[in-house]
Amino acid sequence: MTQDQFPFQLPDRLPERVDPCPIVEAVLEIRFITQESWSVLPGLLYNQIREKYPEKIELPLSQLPEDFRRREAHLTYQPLMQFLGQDFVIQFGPRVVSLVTKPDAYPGWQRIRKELAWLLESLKSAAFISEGERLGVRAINFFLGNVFPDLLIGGHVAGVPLNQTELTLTTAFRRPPLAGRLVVTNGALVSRGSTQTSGSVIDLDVWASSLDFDLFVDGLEKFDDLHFLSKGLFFGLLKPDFLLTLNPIYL
Amino acid sequence: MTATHFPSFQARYTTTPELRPGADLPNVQTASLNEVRREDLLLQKLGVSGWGRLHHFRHFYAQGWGERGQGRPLSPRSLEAFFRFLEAMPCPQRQFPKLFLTDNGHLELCWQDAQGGAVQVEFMPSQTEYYIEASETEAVVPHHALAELAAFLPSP
Repeated sequence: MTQDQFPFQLPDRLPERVDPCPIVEAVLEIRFITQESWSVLPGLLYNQIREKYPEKIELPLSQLPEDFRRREAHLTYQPLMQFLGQDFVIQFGPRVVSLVTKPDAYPGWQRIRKELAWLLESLKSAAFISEGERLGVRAINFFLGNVFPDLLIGGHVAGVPLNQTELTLTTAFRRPPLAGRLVVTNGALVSRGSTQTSGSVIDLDVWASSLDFDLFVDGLEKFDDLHFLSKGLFFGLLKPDFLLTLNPIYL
Repeated sequence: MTATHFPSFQARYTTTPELRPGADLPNVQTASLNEVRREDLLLQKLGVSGWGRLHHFRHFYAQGWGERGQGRPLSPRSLEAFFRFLEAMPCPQRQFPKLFLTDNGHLELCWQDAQGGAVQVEFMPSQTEYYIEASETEAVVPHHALAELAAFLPSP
């Protein structure tokens, strides 16, 4: 593998936690195929999770005809329903199920891992997933102001940094057997209830593809690998002085 | 950003209008990672027919496809194994292999060797099965041996 394919530096040592935690939302996503029709899937899942996730919400996309949704590739992995629990939301669609943290309430990896283990057992009992297609970990980090001067990644024109302009950078990368996409923007508008806050976002999405995991055999361990890569990538982007302002705690 | 042009649920963030892609170009989309390279690979090794058939298998063959209503959707593991094989397969010299979707949702490639004998490769979720008519050989290989299989089989 050349450095161009994975140009990021992963720190040797990672903080156990930072304060304030910049993660506004984390999404743990399982894409799958099933032999069941969408009409029965919500019932199969709800039967397993209803004690912890009693409230369900149908999302606007669910009102569109199934034929239309199936033919529009960009809708394939969109959720149609949400199940609301105390600490998490489960999003569910015909080809995707996600565990999502509550806004601005990242509970830490160990808490997420425990819930993921429970969700995987629930999915196994619901017995509608015939094959996993992709496992993903996405973390959306928010910072007030322009974060680019504090990062080791940025845009340049003829060697001059684009530090004062509005800028969004997106890059896709590969670290076999995992892959990912990084979006950094200093023009983000984050929704918080009825208000919006402007600032910068570091949006990291990393995933494993179908041949590189077996959902009910090593799915949880693959999520560990994805989380570890995501965490390393995030902290590897920060300049040391900026990292100190997040009060990192090492064990 | 999440579903910028068709918000299905509230995205956690969006960007200022100046940073949003032009909404007046609905047919311009960013290909997902790997997709551009894989489309080139399909066209190069299976031709436009193979490219078109895979597109249909991926997007229009849901559970219950086919006359008997027993067809299963395309297996993601089969698809990934198929692409790994295709990367290693030499460019066809005589004809493009034909692509099929089995009732079980597995991709299958078929072609003829130089003497006209059939060669078939079926990509199953945990292994790949092949058949060579000329030697009456039928066997399976694990997915990590797909490059070796591509080198071993009679070329199309």
